[in-house]
Amino acid sequence: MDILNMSALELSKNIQSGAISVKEAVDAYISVIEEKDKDINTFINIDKEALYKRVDEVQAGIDSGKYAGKLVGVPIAIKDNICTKGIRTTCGSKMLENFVPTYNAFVVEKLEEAGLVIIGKTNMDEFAFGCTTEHSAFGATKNPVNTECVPGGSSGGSAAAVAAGMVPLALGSDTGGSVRQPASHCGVVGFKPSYGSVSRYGLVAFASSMDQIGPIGRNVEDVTALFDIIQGYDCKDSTCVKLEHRKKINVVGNEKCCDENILDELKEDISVDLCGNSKEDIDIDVDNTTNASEKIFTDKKSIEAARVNLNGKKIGIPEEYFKDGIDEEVKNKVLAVADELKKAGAEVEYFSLKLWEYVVPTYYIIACGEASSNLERFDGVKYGIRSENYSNLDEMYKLSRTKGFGEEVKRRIMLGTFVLSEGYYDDYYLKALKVRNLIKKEFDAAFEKYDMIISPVAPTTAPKLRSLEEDLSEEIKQPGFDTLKMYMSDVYTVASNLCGYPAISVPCGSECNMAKVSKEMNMPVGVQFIGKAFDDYKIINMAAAYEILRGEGE
Amino acid sequence: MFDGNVNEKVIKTDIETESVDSCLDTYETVIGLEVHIELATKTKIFCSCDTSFGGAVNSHTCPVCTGMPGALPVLNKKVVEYAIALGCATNCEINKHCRFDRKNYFYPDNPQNYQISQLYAPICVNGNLVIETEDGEKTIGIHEMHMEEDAGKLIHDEQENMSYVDYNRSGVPLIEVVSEPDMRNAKEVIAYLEKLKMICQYLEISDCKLQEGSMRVDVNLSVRKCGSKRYGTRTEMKNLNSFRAITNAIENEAKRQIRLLENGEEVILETRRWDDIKMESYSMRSKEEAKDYRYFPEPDLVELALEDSLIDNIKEAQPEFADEKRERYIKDFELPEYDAKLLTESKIIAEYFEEVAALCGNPKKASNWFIGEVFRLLKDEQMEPEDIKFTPKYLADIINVVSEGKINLGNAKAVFEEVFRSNVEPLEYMKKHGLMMVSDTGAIEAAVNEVLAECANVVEDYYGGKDRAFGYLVGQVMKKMRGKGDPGKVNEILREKLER
Amino acid sequence: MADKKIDDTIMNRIENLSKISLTDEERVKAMDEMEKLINYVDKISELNTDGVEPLVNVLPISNVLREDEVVINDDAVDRTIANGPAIKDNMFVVPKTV
Repeated sequence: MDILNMSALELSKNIQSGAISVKEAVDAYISVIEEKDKDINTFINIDKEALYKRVDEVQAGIDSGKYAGKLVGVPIAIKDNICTKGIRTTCGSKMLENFVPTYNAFVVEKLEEAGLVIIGKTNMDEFAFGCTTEHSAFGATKNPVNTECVPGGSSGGSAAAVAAGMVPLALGSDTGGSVRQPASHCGVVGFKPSYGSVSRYGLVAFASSMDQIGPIGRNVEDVTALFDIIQGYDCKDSTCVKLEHRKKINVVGNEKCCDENILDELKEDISVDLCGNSKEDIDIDVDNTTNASEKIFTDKKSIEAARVNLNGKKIGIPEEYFKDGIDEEVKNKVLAVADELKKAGAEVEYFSLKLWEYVVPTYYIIACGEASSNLERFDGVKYGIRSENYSNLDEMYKLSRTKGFGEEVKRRIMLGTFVLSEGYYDDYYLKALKVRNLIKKEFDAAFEKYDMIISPVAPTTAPKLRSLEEDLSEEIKQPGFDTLKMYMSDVYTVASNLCGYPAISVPCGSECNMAKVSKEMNMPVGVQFIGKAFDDYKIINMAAAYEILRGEGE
Repeated sequence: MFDGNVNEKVIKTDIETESVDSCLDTYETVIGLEVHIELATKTKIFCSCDTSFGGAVNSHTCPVCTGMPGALPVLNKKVVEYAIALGCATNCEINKHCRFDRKNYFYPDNPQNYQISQLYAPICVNGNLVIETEDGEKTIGIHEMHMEEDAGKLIHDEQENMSYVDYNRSGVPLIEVVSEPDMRNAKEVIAYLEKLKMICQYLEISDCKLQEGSMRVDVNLSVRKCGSKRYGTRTEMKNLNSFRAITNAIENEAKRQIRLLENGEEVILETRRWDDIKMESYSMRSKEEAKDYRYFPEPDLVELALEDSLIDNIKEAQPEFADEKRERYIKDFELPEYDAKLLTESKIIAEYFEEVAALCGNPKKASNWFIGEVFRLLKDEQMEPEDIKFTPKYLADIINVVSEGKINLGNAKAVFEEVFRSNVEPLEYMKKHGLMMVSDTGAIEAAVNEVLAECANVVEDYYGGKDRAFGYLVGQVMKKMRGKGDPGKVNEILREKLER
Repeated sequence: MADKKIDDTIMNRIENLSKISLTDEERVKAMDEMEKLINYVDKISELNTDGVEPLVNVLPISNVLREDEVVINDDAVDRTIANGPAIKDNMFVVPKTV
């Protein structure tokens, strides 16, 4: 059986039926990794001994009927900023080159309960600061579609691993596009859930108010199955929302949710049941939303079902997103998706996002500010590297941090320190929090009209390795340097993080198909579907419908 | 409060006492306090680790309170309830939308290198406490109260030139109470602290022990010429581990500042450390420039929305405080103010007293026993009110048998000592040790007969009209009965026999 | 662009606060880049935000609280010190702080 070409769901079915053993599945993928990873450099760490112990454990669990679920026995790669008990977790940094957590992230616990097999930890931009996976202490990851190109980032290792066929599924984290953008560049599906859907416990924090863990896979259905497993309430993350509250927030909307009565209701519920992750919670969420996605997935090949799903849906396109700084090729492909959806019966129209130019500056201020504080804990006292030759405490801090952090991390910490510091806080950090409110209001108003917003994921396809930095160092010296261009690469993705919206990146151009890879082929392009808070399954459905319309392989 | 990088430097304070003393009266001291109160919750503020004291180093820890990567805080409900309770008891406004902020500074006892505290929207604001000193009543404003986490402990090794960090205390909940600069002398400060401590103890939210660090006081002090409306430059005094140290530090610091001003020098805005043995303070000047804590709203925690109903519930559940009890004792129990004040200083004592008073039906007598005996024994045994273990009914029983004349007061006090120390059942104890009064007529008659026979000459005196003779004879009978004869009965029988 | 926001004084302050020290070369580069970034993000100053509430948590949830119940962690000491770069008697060792 062709293990490597099966979807994750098919693979699990075969494993659960006994047609394929967990070991056979893992062996098959390990052989791909051994063949390809020398060139691509996606994995920071694979602990084979622990891996095969886990393989036996999962196989025994399957044989004794311990597991039930859609992804039992499936190998998965985890971004190296998600804590794995007993397995080195480096965040792509020299700072944590020897850090072995004594606890699991919530999502890792969930994966273990669901019988998945973690193959290894993937490369990333150091502490998730970057969008190319070049800023890693463990070397750059390359784009498997074309190894002269970057895979995007910061979850470049995870996206590249899936794209290269080294794993059927992976987890990344997304603070400003770090799941969606590499998925787009590598030609795979990447989903950033609504803020509050997936527990952040055990995810090494970058920007706490925006970080979310998200699944990456070859198709929407696999990604959805993985999302089903990792999402859910966790009492260890105060910003993780109970399922019944997700529904309320989704239905009532943010404006009305500020209504005192609603807050009362929410509060009461929370105080009655403080930490229960009851079965009822799950049932509430599973009703119409998941069932709808079930339906479209079971009728997978049915174009008719896809049309039904899209018919009458209102879709908005921010006109400003297509004006400047975007590659023609990307623009055309994304607009072609809009046409496709229109043909299926959706109402598509342009609308204006007046605040679009403020989105990236606001994001940068908040993200760097939070990051500068979140990364203070790396000081050489409790874990991480400690420099030698210090003569006092202050020197120990400075030498350890200077040695442990890479250049990009230092730059962002310093910018973050600046925006929070006395005399600047009001004009930068506080101001950005206020602008964030305005931006969210503008998007919320758009969602009053639209079921979803579609946009590009990135303005270009994957750039060549090092190109961003080289261009930057040259261009930055020019007096009229256009800083905007440098950050345009984030403009499409960061709004979802600022506002907490779910967003999915689906290939809409040269889809990754390893059989067809050649240096001459076009690099992949992704289209992004964005929904309002807790419309996760709604946009997944529409992404699934689009995937059907698009057809496999193109 | 946990500032790092201190470079201690001794400032000579050779105060020329006489010259300062001569102008002391022309200055006014202005004092505001920052008081950290460690809450008596079972778990830490943001994780479920045990807060109890005395565990092995780093044994009460988890990823949250040791700042491990990826760990997240979740707020302890009790901390919020305690903060609201203290706010209500001190007439504060409760901030209905309050949140936490991060205070960023590097120091090894602070595992995240930021402390989760409150700056922009503290839970309680604009309160006050009414204090009482010999000069009368005074209202001291409370600027705000906020919730925050405690830091770990640093242990210093002089030989190795190293410090060691234990995170057991890291994350223990604190409430910081910031007063207005409304106090003018050490007496007011002590009265304020006593009052705050009393309220916390009545609310059972903290034991507020300065020596053990469950109450920590920083004194902000400045001086100004009497009549001036402008505040002078203040200093902040730390390391004050007793009321005595606070008093000493305030008096010393006021003099130090006055002397500086009188010499035409300036007071420097700084933090100082009090040394109660040397009776002087040291500047804790930081090597770096002024602190910049880069406070910003803590994104890992959500807002607290505190509705009136919740606040009302907490208000309703508040105990009767010392002031109210005192008034009730005066009014309902007709106790002197002095008694009422002493009895209500500790909630535990007040509750014991009320129970004993109810059981014996005589509040004044109960009060006498507490003020005379219970307080004396507490002092002798160096015990705190919470160490009391006797059953209230036992004291009530003693009071009753004394009232009934069944035991003399001296013996009753001796019995109570046993009750106080080992909670023995007093009536059994009295019987067992033969301490009860003898009212058995036969025994008294026998004793009277013996005395009359032995003291024939005194009997003569009695008949001769000497009044004192009767008293002497009573004394002899009592002596013969080793003090246990019922005095009434002894009198009655003796007179009867003599008159016969 | 006329007035430099990132001068040596500010850079010293930032280095001290963030406990990062740069070489002279890195420092020149970092100051230049930060100047540009600050000028870029300064764009938000164009917007009038009078009366706008700062948005910290995007979700309208409040009062997420935990019961005051102790959870005992097995081998808490070992787990806490497991990654410590310098440990003595189960405590973290640091240069003397006072």
